[in-house]
Amino acid sequence: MNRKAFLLGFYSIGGQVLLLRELVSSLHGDELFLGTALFGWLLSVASGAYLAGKSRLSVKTGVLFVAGAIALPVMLVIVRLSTLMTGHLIGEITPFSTAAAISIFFMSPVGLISGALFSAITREGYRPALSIVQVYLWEGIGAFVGGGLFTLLVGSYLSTLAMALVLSLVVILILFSDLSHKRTVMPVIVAMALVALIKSYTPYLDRYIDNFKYRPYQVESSLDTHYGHQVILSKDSTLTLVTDNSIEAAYPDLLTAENLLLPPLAYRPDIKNILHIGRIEFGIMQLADSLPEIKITAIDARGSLTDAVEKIMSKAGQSVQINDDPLAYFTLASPLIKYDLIIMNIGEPDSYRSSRYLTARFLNAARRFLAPGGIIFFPSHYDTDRNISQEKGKLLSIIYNTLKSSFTHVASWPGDLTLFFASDSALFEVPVDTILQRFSALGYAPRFLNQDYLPDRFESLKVSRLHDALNSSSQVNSQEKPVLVYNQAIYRSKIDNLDKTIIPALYRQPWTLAVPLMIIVFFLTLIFRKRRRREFGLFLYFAAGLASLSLELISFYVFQSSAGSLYSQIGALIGAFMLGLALGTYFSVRANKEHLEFPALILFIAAVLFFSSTYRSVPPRALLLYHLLFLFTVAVITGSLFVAATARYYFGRSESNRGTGYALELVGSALGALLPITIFLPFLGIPWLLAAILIFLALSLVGATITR
Amino acid sequence: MERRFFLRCLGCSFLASAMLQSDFFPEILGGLKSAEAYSLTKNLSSVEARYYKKLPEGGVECGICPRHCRVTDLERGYCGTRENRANVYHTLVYGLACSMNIDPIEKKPLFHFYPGTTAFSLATAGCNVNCKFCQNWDISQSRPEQTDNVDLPPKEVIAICRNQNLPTIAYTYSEPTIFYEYMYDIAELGRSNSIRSVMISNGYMETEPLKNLLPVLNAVKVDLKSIREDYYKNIVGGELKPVLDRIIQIKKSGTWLELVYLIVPTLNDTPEEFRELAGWVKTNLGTDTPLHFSRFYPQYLLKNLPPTPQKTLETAYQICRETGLEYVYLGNLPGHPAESTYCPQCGKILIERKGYRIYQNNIKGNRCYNCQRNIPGLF
Repeated sequence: MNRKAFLLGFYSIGGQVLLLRELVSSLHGDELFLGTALFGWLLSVASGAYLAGKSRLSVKTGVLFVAGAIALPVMLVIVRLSTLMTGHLIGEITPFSTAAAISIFFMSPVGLISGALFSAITREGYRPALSIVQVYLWEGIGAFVGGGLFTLLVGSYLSTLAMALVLSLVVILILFSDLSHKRTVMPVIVAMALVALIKSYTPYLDRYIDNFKYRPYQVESSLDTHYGHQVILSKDSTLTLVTDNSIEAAYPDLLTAENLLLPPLAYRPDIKNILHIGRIEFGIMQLADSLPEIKITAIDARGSLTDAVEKIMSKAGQSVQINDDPLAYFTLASPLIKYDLIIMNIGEPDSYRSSRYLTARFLNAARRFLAPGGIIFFPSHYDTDRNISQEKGKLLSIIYNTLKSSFTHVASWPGDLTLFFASDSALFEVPVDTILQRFSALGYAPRFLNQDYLPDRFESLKVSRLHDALNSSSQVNSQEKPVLVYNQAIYRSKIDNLDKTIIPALYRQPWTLAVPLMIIVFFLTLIFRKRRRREFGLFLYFAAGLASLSLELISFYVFQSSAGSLYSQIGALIGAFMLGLALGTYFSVRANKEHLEFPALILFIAAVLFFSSTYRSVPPRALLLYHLLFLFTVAVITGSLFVAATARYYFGRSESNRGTGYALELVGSALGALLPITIFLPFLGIPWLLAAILIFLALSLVGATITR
Repeated sequence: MERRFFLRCLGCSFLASAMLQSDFFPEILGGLKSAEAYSLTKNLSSVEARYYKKLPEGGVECGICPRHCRVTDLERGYCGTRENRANVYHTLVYGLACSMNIDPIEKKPLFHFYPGTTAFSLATAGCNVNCKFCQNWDISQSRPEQTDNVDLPPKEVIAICRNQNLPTIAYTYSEPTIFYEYMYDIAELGRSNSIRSVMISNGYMETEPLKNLLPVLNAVKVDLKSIREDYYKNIVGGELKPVLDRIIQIKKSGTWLELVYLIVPTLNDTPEEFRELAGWVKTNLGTDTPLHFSRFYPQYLLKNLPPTPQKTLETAYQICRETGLEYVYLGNLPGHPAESTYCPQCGKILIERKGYRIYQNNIKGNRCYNCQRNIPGLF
């Protein structure tokens, strides 16, 4: 066993997963951000590997491990407080460009150390090709073990910070303990005692940091769930639920509560059974006692949050809490209970998690749970009271079109919150006077939805402006082509001058399409001009990185847009990928066959074809297994390709820079992390993205044949 | 790999990308361009701006607001709506309304100005500050070519008001200072047609333009965003002193004035600030100037800050009343007693409001129906 390589994998995946999770949580990052953060991570690992691979630089692995063990928890705390360092106010949105810069900057120390460790450990081996493969193998095994552990522990037993401290502790103890000796009992006891100490005291540290970050608010509760970081704040008799540094709900907030519950009653005053997607304690439960005839069932996957909320707020009215993901619930559970109303309180569709609700797949699944004449209600957070910009209009139009693609009748209200109603029954042709009449007949007298406000809300200019906006686009949001989240990114980019330049340029300008063309032209020129066998080895490194990371990110996307959460399972998914890499590498080396690139590339193509034909039909409960197996398979193939590339480039060259191949693979991986999902998905959609990868792999196969 | 060979490959790649950027593949790329962006650019106005001076060294200096932007040829001022073209300064938004609504006057809010009436509200793109909590950031922080504009010259604004029987025009949403020429011309035309004008402003305007504008206005509502200079510097992107000076100028001119203070949690919500504010209003404007406290809702950059707690609003109300201010109101709290107007002398309810609706108006000829105390405002 190569202990150092194992530790490298363990440490590296820990650094990557924990920092990514913390960055997404602290900066409320969306998927654009995730691609950029991964891109930055991979580039810093590549830089570390390349720099440390240069023969003039020689750093001891022990020093690097200790530096890494210190750097990880420190960087984690810095990331958590990073918005304060950049001068942002409490509650202020971090623009994408700032968030991207923070992620690249604060991930780089751990990334550089991980990369440097790879080169430093391989240098300790004798023959370059063999030592690289051996390190790769044990790094993969270490990553798999680490990834599995993080998925099991983070959110359930340990917070992100606690996990980082445990990880650092484990790395140092294993590195400096003499495990070959029989006297291993003492270090294990010490380690367990320290882990217990970390588990007991880190919650106080987490809370202290949140207190510092959110002052002058009082932190009532601070906890990690599988989905992210939750804080409940209080000030001046008001409670606020903060999820991943953004406000999910506030209590009391009657304006929002009325807008979330009452409007559908204007069309169906007889509504009794309501299913609410999202938390209700801070929102519509404020009205539950006033409307005792209504029964509310809430569905939200964050079970541990339920416990935390119950300690702070008393449960009001008749409500049932289901701790499950809504899509899984709608797909699998037999609809014994039918609801008169389903409220989609999902916030802004700024992530795949929230925007997946606005797809035909979800809406059709939800429809099975609607009673005859039932309504799907989406209270969006877009303000259309005074004006509607082009960007906002397009977003509203996409939402409208998507609802229209699943339901026969769709209606909308302008206002501070723009409301959408969808049903298969003709319910929505109701004059304003009747709406007012129905509201005044409720057991509860609305304070915002009444004759004092509604005539202004339905003023003709506002209604016609919203009508125009809803017809401004023909696009529909779908899992295959999730245009909503990208249009949301364009809309939000207006808040910052740099974002305003970067994001619309990425999505509206065709120059981005030049990047893959450049790669292909480069590749073709390379293979057709000189037919160099050895240099093509370098290209194979690059191709392995690009194809595998592209598929990894596509798999992440499909998983998240189906299962809802990603950040708790990302450790297991990456871990499975790393194990596949390790085993692929190991068996390829053992097989000791020439021209492994041919079966590897053919299998790669087969895997992509299999994924293309099956990913849509995976049942929600089998999603994790399906994606684990897919990523594992892709990684096994990538491992073989890595060995084939190493054999081509390093064969008989003991003095060459051992970091070069690894670095090129990581450059390919970095592009794979950034381009397909972050940039191309809204243009191409999943099917065409997969087709592009197939073409790239086929061209690689042609190149390998020519340079054989 | 040889360096020269690598460079050749790179050259090929750039050539390919250049072909893509050009119209080499128009049938592929044509659909990705935004046709609307070009047609909107054509719609900008080119009316010569007022209150600027040509600089001896070239360029112009804008005099409409305290920023005094120095603008070189083909550049724009901070607001993005005024452009130097060959040393002639132009307003690009004259007659280009990007937002129009018919609002209750209570929504502005103006509580002592013809209660229960409506106002034709309009705005153009642009603003001369950048408040992190702006409710209308989508238009105020946009340039005019980025918004959907309606060609609406002053005559048409007046025609709309006359046709729809709208007694008042409100210049609002974004900052009217940056569409000063448009606002002035509408207000002047409105005056000769018996249509009133009210400006909803941040007060960040220069003395001279304001002095000339006030005679054509009937009322001004100023958003006094804080009483602290550092708030203006860090949160608003402006200065406090000119705003305070303009508020005093408006008060002295006799044009009806009301103030709004938006309470943003953690940023301007301490009792000390409320005391300073109340003291300043009392000393400089008198106790009869209406002061509205507004509730913050998460917007724009401060999307992750919770709404203002009712308790904070009530604390502000209490402090101002204790200081002696007679007309203090709380906004966005429908049904709260502090939405209504009370006689400072006898305490009787004079105007009962709920939301944007007037339930009773007991003011007779600017006097309390009960004790005959004079009630300031236009009723």
